[in-house]
Amino acid sequence: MALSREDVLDITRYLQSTLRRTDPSAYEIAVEFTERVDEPARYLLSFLLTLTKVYSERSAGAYPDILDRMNRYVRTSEGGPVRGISVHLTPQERELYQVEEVNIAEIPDRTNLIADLRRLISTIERETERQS
Amino acid sequence: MSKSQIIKQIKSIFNTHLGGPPAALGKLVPPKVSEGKLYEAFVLARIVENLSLQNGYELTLVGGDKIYFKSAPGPINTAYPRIQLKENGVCVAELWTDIEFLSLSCCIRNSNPITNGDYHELDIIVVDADTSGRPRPDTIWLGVECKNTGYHKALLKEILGIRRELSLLQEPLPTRFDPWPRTMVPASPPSCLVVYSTDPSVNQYSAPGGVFGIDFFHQPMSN
Repeated sequence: MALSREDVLDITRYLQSTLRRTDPSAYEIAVEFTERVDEPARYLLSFLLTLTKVYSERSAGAYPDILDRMNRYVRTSEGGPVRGISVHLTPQERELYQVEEVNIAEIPDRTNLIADLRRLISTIERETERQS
Repeated sequence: MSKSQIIKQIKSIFNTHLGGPPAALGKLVPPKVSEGKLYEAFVLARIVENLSLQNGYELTLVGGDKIYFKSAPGPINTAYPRIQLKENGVCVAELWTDIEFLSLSCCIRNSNPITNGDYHELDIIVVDADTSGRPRPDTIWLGVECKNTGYHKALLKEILGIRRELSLLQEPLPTRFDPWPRTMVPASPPSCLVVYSTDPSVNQYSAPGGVFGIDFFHQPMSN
């Protein structure tokens, strides 16, 4: 069954309201950086592509490649490899969260989420093409 | 597929990937603190690659075996690890992350005490060896800004302001680098200034950089 214009608007509303509730910062970025277009299906697809990009740039799936590349060109003064990449917190953050630093490797790996979003995009593309 | 089936698919995606159990105390650090640094780390890896392969520097991490970014910028703290750039085994410059530099206007006024408007942040910076505190513009070899997700006019204005507080517009002078990122720059002191962005629209904002000596690179997070 092809999607109507109203269907697409309902899906967009559901997607955005769920995202706003579960991940407000991703919602804000995706809304800000999705191009405004009048055609609802194009907007929904564009929003999903932006969201996929947001999560791709926040996925620890990229971490092993980053560390590998670093270690191809940088050695420690003892001649060993770089052991990791971390974010050092401010004194206030350390007191509040009771940790000294955050290891970038511990950022969630969102590879599967990204794959699922890509599948969703394909589905919507298929259904909106059938409608047109 | 019907509307209700697609909504069910969206619901399943959110439940599976974004509806996890409450975080443990140590995991309460807001994601934006660490996730925003992932792109900086990605860019840093590209920079060390260029410094090594194109310019021939030997790169040594000193002061530890981990690279640290900071959740808030600050002056150079020599207790932190940094990457030394070496030529023939001699350290000629050092690379630091999340550093505040002293503005050109502050140095011209010889301002004391330093106020909030007298320094600005760069995500990655290369400075003269043994520099500490907030580096002065004449000690800066390279400044890098990393902008993931989207690039827009306000970010262009920001980087033009950074350029202004690093250098005066000048007939091209030799930089400290050969060949990457550039050998000449229309700026005095002749620091290089580079913007990396995942957003292809960064290219639409790059024209002023041709005049003021700012290089814009569209660098998505992929190999």
